[in-house]
Amino acid sequence: MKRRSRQSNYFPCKVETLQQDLFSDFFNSSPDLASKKVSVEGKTAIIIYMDYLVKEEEVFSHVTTKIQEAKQLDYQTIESDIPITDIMELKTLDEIGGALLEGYVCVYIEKEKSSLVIPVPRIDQRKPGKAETETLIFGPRISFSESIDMNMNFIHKRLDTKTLTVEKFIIGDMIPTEVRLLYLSDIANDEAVQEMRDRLNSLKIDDVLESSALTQYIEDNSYSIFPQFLVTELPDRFCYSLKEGRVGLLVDKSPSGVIAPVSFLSFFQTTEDIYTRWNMGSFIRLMRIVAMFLSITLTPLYVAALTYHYEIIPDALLVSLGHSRSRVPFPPLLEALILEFLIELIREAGARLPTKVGQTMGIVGGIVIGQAIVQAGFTSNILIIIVALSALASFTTPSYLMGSAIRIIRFPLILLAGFWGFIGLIFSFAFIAIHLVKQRSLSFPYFVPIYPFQPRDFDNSFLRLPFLWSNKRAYSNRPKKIRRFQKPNR
Amino acid sequence: MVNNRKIIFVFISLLSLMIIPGCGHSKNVIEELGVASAYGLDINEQQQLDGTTVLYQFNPDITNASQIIRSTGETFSMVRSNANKKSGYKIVNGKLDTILFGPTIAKQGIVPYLDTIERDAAISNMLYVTMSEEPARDILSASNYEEAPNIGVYLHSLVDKSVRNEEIVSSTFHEFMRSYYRAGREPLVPIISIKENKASIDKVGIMHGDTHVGNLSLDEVFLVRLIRDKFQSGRINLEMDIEPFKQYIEESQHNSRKDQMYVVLDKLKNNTQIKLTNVDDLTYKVNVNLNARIIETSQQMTLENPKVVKILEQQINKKLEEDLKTVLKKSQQINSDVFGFGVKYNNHTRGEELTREQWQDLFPNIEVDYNVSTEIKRFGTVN
Repeated sequence: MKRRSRQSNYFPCKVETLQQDLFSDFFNSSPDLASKKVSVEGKTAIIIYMDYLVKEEEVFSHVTTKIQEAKQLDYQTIESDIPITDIMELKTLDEIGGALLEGYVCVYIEKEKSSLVIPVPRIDQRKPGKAETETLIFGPRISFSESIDMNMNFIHKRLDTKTLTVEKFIIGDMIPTEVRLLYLSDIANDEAVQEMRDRLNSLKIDDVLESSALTQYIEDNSYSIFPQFLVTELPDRFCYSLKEGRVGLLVDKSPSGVIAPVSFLSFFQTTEDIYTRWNMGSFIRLMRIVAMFLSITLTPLYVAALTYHYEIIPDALLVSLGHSRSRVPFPPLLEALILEFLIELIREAGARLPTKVGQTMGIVGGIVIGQAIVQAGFTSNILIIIVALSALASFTTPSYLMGSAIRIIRFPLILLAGFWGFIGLIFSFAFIAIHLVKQRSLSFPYFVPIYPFQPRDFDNSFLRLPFLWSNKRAYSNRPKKIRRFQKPNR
Repeated sequence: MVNNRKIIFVFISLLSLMIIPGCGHSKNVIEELGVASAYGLDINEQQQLDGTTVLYQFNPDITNASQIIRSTGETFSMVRSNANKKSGYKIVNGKLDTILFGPTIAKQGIVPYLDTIERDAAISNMLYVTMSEEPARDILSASNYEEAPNIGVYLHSLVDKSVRNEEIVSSTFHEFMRSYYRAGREPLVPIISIKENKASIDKVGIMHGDTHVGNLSLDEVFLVRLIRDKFQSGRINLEMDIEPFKQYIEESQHNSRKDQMYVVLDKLKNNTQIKLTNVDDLTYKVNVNLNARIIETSQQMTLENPKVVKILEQQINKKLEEDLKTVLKKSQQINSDVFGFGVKYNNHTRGEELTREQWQDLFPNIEVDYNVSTEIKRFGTVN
């Protein structure tokens, strides 16, 4: 039996044999394999399908009924009767089994040399919804959904140009998943496209899981704490990046797109900066960078100053700091670690709990514990302010992955500040700076426009200058066409 | 191999994280410190150094009391270590911003004690050097120091405010040492005095080298500053003879019997040029260009009249020239060149460095010709 089923000349056979072989060999006696025998003018046909992978109403109305009402039973008649496209004829049991798993219905007429498969797949998908992690106040709110067809639809609608090029890759040995590579052929840098193509082609894994998991396989340095590919759930962000000359990836069953090459500063930008007026956009961009810096430095600075360098504390602050510290039984390092840990605890608990409970959690954690911890003399209230401020600052980062990186990187900094004081702090800043300068994103420098220094890109990285002043795409992406539009003569 | 090396690298990094801190500077956790904000130094009857240390008070329950420690010793370092023995806190000097010398030390010379401070890298060079004519310990025990956390901080803000208001010459540690080592310009140090349990500055000590030899009133300090410094927005109160103005003073005020009138000048800027006209005779010519605004006169007069302003300017010039001569005479008597004429002399005799002793012989004999020209720019809304 086994040997027979692998043979290419499997057909013709009896309908019962086909059903039995599929049932026992291919689906391991799955209870969901449905079949129906139909007899027309002495000929017997069988219809087989997996009942939860197909739209059963359509199978009944478009397949079963048509076959029952057919004047004669042969494949040509059936194909012309059934109003469904992409009907295929398959000859081996393996192919048929695979097709059934993709939502095909198998029709076999006894004594024929092949079998007919008709696609009636059932795809349950949610409607495109609002963005959850990258919320915008001003601008399009729609986010990618879990279906690649719908995501491609969003992008084609936004990028209605013939130069939008889509390449298809199938990745995953155990569970093949469709991955689409998108770029604008007249703008995107060829090297970037080729690099991405090579990385996808050489990727041998069992399963992709999700687009953010895929990025970790094909990133330049997956040991780094900083993400090198931008994962976004906003179609408008995705399309904007393609128009800047970047390369995009869409993964089936994943509600987010991947953008590369990106720079460190890309993670502190949103499309909202572009939708709002330039002065507001520039201000907010600068503010995010300052916030990132504060978020990393404030707590370590507190620890270092209070453990080693009381000289740098201003006179006026010295007394109030001394007052609040005088009741705390722990050294500043431990005090800061406890409080930072507590904030992370509240954040994680808030994220895991259902929304309604989560809000209560925030109040309990923030106000009740915050108040009580100072009154109990666990920490000084100035540290509470500092830790809350740096947590707040870390949430201004639009990219969730970068925000988490900033929150985590604080801990080694606090430790070093507690062990070595300012020397440790400077040491860790030097370490981070060297690390950032070394990183690459899709073989393009990661820390542009600071290193390599590219002042021509400042108009749309640190700042967001008016469009007439920044009518060029980022030089650091090396796009084929640098100018977005001609400046009007005024 | 590579993997092994990485593991060793990580291991060594972690190990050094634990071990190297031991080699570094000692921990100074803030609540375990007695942060000194001021030192007061006297010499007691046994010819020992008697130090008063003012500490920051970190206990939130005690709101209004300076933490003061008294200790004695042969040297400043011994005073400090003896103070340490008397306190549960580790006394550190990183936030020291005032040092106060009592009369006993000021008469002997303060530099031996400042020398110790110069060697301590933790102590800021911006600390103010001050003196008093009462024992330093009495000044630092004053109980009224406004909202400041302790008397040390109060003294610092008192001196700092006066310097900023251009009332006295700045005497930070750095500036004092610079004047001290530079022949031809003597340092000036503010004198802290105590009235009704509250410290204040109402004169400035003239130094001769590092010993206190005489005092200048704040009005006299203004004249010294006129030659020595540059005013950005100074203020002065002048007392003048009423006679030249008699005919311009308004009728209703005419019956006043006073023969003096007062003028307050504000937003005062000066431009002073000192010229050594004859090196052998040591004659100087000093041109002072002033411009200022009148904000107050004790007698009502019509300042809109250009003649009045003219007379006023002339009178101010005359008055200032006289006053400058008086102050010069005073400083020549105690042989302390507070104006800095010696620096000018040194600049003229290139090639040989002027020494303190040389200038002491020369200074009492110098002749200075002052020429003040005042310009009154505005007279505000007062009429």
